[in-house]
Amino acid sequence: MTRAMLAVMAGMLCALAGWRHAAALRASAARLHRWTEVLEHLALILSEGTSTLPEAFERAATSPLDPDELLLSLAADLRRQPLTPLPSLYAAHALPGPEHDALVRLMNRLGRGSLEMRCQAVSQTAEELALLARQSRESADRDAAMWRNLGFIGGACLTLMLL
Amino acid sequence: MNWQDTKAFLIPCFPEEVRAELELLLPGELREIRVRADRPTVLITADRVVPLPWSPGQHQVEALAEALAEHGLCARAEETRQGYVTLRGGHRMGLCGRVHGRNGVRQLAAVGSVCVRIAGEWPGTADMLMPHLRQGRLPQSALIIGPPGSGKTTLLRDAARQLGSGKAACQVAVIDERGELAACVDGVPQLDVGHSTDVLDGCPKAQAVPWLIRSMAPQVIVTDELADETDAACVLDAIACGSAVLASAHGTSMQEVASRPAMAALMARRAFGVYAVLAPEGGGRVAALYDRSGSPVKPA
Repeated sequence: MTRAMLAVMAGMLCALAGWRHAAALRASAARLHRWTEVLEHLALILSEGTSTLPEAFERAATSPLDPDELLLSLAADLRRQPLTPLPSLYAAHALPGPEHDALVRLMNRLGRGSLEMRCQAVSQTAEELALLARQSRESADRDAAMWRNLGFIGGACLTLMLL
Repeated sequence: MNWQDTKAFLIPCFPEEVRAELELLLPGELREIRVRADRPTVLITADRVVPLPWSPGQHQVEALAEALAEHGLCARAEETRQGYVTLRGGHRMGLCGRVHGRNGVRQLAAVGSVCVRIAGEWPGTADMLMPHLRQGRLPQSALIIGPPGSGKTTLLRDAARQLGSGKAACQVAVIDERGELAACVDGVPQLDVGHSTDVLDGCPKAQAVPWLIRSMAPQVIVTDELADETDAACVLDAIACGSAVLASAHGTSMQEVASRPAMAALMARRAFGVYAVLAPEGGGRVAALYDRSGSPVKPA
């Protein structure tokens, strides 16, 4: 009985691992897509030329989830620690991901230069992330089902082997 | 903004080497902070120049400019195109660096040096002039004449403050074309220009005068730096509409100002009821007073 329960649990864990990997692929694609939307909105706000950087971040972040939450944290940090360069503030919050390098470059350019240069930096990063989002979505469409099925099949096989 | 508030605003924006020196300064002592890429930072006080052991790189100078502007340089494109940004408290940050132009519009693309000029308010500067600015209860027009650095702007600001304050306050309107009289941030004066004073910031005199006459019905219009025929025409328009004008002009004497055609036309029409010539050493000290016909007047 115990052996059967352990076998079923091992199978379920394997299926869960496959399901989670599939979910992570889809979440990465969704996060990149959301970054694209937020940066397009940010470029529009900055081009008005009426908002400070913290205000622009706060206006662009319209949902309570990542990456909007990251922008709100950056806005709060900018107000609290104006001397700290923006890239350092970003580094304290950022998680590694395919968008990390593009965002580091953006943060380096966002606190410098004319208004036109800053808007260009945001627009170019939005385009770069749109490309990454497209690639990530294609990869998720192709691989997510595979990993989910692999997890279930692997879990079932493991259960049978252990029984 | 008093010195404690000024320090509280400036200190977080600078590194430790500069903060330590700022903490040692007395109220009213600091005039300027000059920061240049790859060169030592300098504090300029009333009587000395203090070099500091901080030579920032170009990125650090840009980060400093961003911090002082409270990360609002992107919202101050018009000001940065003029080469300066007005900071909280009325202080002025001058910017220098690489400029690029597109479609005839020049913008600051990289900041190489920054000059923070600390705003100073000197209440009482216009005390000697005030008795001559009123004819009974009504204000009369006056022209302040002085060389650069003589304190024309400081005196105009204090005169606006006194005219726009107290029981006998007038409705005062300030045309602050270059943002030096009231040092507005988002339309709010950072310097004390009086409780009954409205400020039109960044607007040329030719547009500002009809705007104010139509909208604010001022009894006195205060403006800096009369230079040409357009400015002279604005003064006459304002006086014709019933407002007194308190203005300033570059010069070292009545005769020098009268030799300019635009000013000569104003003097010939007796537009101003009193002329005040300032001493060149600064502080807004009135050296001589003249009535509308150019005759010397004994200070009250």
